[in-house]
Amino acid sequence: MRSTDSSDGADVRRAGRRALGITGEDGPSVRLRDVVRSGSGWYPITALGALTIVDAFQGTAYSILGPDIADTLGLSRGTIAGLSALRLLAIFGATLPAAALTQRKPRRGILSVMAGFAWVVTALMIGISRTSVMLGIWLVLSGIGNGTSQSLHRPLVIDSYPPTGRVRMLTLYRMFDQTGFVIAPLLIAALTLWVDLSWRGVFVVICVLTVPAALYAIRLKDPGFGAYDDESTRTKVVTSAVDDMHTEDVELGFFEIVRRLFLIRTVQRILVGWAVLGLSFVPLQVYLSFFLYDRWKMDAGARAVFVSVLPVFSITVLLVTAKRGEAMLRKDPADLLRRAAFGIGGGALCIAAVPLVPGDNWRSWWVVPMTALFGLGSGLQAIGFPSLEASQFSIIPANMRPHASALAGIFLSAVGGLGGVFLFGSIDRRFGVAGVFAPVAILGVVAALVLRSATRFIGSDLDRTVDGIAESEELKGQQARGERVPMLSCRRIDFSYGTVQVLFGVDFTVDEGEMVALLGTNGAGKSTLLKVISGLGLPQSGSVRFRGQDVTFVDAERRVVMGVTQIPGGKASFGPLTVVENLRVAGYTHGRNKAAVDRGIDVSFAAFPRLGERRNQLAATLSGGEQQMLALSKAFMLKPRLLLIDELSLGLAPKIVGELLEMVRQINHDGTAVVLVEQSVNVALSLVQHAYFMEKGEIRFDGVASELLDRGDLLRSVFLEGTAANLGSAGGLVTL
Amino acid sequence: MLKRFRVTVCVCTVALLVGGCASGGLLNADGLAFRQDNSIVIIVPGERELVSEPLSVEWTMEPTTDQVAGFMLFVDRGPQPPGKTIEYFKQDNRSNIYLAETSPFEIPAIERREAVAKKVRDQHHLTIIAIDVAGRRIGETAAYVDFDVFEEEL
Repeated sequence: MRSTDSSDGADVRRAGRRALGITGEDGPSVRLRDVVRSGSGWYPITALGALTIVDAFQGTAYSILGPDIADTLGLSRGTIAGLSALRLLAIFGATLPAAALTQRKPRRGILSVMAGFAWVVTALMIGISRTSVMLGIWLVLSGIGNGTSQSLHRPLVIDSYPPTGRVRMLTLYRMFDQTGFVIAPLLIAALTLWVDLSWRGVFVVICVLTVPAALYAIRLKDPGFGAYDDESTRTKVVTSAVDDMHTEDVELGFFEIVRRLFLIRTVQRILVGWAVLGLSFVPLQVYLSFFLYDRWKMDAGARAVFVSVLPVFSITVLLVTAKRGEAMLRKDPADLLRRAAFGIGGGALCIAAVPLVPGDNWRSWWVVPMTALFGLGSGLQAIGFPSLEASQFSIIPANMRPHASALAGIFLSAVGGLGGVFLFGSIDRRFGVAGVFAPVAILGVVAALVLRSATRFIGSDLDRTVDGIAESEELKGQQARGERVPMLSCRRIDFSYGTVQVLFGVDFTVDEGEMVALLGTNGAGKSTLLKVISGLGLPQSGSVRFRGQDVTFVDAERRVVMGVTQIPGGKASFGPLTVVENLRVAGYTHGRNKAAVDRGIDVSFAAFPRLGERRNQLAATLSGGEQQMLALSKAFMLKPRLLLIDELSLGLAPKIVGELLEMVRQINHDGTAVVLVEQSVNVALSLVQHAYFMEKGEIRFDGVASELLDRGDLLRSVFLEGTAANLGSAGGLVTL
Repeated sequence: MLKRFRVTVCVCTVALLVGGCASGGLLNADGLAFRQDNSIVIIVPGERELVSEPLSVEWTMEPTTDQVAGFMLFVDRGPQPPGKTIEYFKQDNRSNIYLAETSPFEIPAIERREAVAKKVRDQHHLTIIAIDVAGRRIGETAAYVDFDVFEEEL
């Protein structure tokens, strides 16, 4: 693959960032009306807004009317709490499956509408439930709808509008969400206090109110993944007309996507931040009621009013700050992350200060500063949510955003929230309900610091996103121009074991049918690079393309099916299995095609007759050379396009090495490209035309093998090591 | 395609609603109270009233019917579902349940909930339901109140 020089790369990144709405400039924002007009109009945001408003009704109604439900159905409070937990479990359980349902095909609109109609049914059915079992079933279904909306709505908002209005549209969605929490308690209070409805009547009304929202949203369409950013970036970074060219990238599976998200350093920090925040944020929703009840003597009605007033503060703050947030994202997403951290930390400090306000009755004037302080805290924290979402979504490929959204919810509510319930429970028992406010400050500040630490990575993660798109377009261009596309192309690979980085920006290329040697000293990173190619290790940055397809995050077993096979050094067979069993294991990817497996075994025994003689012998009892023969037989079983061989000659007698090398030559001759990792320079160079030399995790030489022999500066170290190894194992000196 | 989807979703929703109503009993809504049933009103203790032991409980029921043979009082626990008797609860799980023929009624002692340091109020929840002559709960009628019991500071 043609390498991109640094100025070209910088230009491409700038163009890509601009397409994502990040111009680096601090000018005025595009008017919201223009953003909406150039996007999908007002309909998607209002339809999703309507759904999110009614989404708040059922959960709120259940928590407020829980005691009434308990008394009617003859349930204990524990059962009511248990059913509530079950609903929460359904919410979190549904988020990732909902994301998985949309990862291959953009059907977020349809699923959102279905969730809306599901609420119509569940609201009514909850209202007419006669037993705890029926109540539980409908609550779970309601929770599944809720989880679906949690993971799909925001990515749908993002993809319905251009990046120039991303923060404002997410803020608008958040405002709809908060509006639901203003309306819900007031509605329930009105229906129970003035209309005199029971909890059953309230749920029937909720059902009726959900119908128009669901009908209004029924025209929701999915605009496709990244319609306004990923696709726009593609057109911006492409340098030549490649309209007719289309290279299908390998679609990542569910777990591959989740794993990939966990590898993005910004996402890692944000998820940890969500979890820390969840420790206080989630249980506080519960303990707030107790605090208001105990300290401020608020009855249920007063609490409902208080709870519905808080989102008003959030909506006001969001309204005031949305435009500034947009400008921050446009200038630098790190600024937006800093703002999110500030909002969350500052908000937590305000909320933690609430118990310091004097007063012990909500009818006193002290309730005003208390509410204002709490409202300010909620408002500041509210800024954090759309800011974090916008920052995070900027660095995540469009089809993975539902997964990221789901993970954020899980980390906030399930990981953090559950931990917080235990933490706050013990604090309440020890210090009383006012005591739970102290950890709110500590946890809020810690969450803010964690989130702030993500600002260090967001720039490079953003570049990585742009690089991925640019690389894909460059490849299409090459193919359109009829240029050669390498079989394997690793670009700018960084890899770490924990905090120890072992590969630094490695570029590595193998052509179709080529045999290359990968040389270097011990610990240079050769085996690690093979792991990255075969999928046993995932890089922190950089890409691996196999036959033009991006396989960087594809599972190792899928790569085997695609044609990449690795023979790990010295441990390529299963000792407790016999030779034949080992070969059958190697032929696992043939599935039920027993004939193919048998054929592979026959070919292997023809190539290595000694293995045939020991077919029923345990692999552990074979000699070192025979074990390597068995390992090499994987190539006959799988017939890979690319064979990665790690340290084939290590510890073997020259005669055996010769036999094995002859077989490697034969495999290559039959069309399989081979990467040969060797410490023995002369062994490797006797076979290949093209060689790479690695040292300390970097490629130091990439060229014709014979030219490497002139590089004494590089070979000295490996030659000395190789000599020592050969003296120790083979018992003879192999000279260059 | 989208039109077909919309029609399908609407039809499915209506089908589920009708099916659910039929099986859930909305079409035969006997016993389902969609409006608040305030026929039982607890007079004493008042909401969040600080009380002492023995606890005196007073309530009224309007309108009274011949069907009502008595009342059941539940402290810090839920009552049985409509139509069920005390047999609904296992023999060893019938604590804090009191049977009263008429108001008022005296509960000699309130079982303490979890002792909480620095708390001087112990919060409790009282529910009252009406029963028929066979001891079955009548409808979904229930009245409840939260009250506090004074405690020595721990």
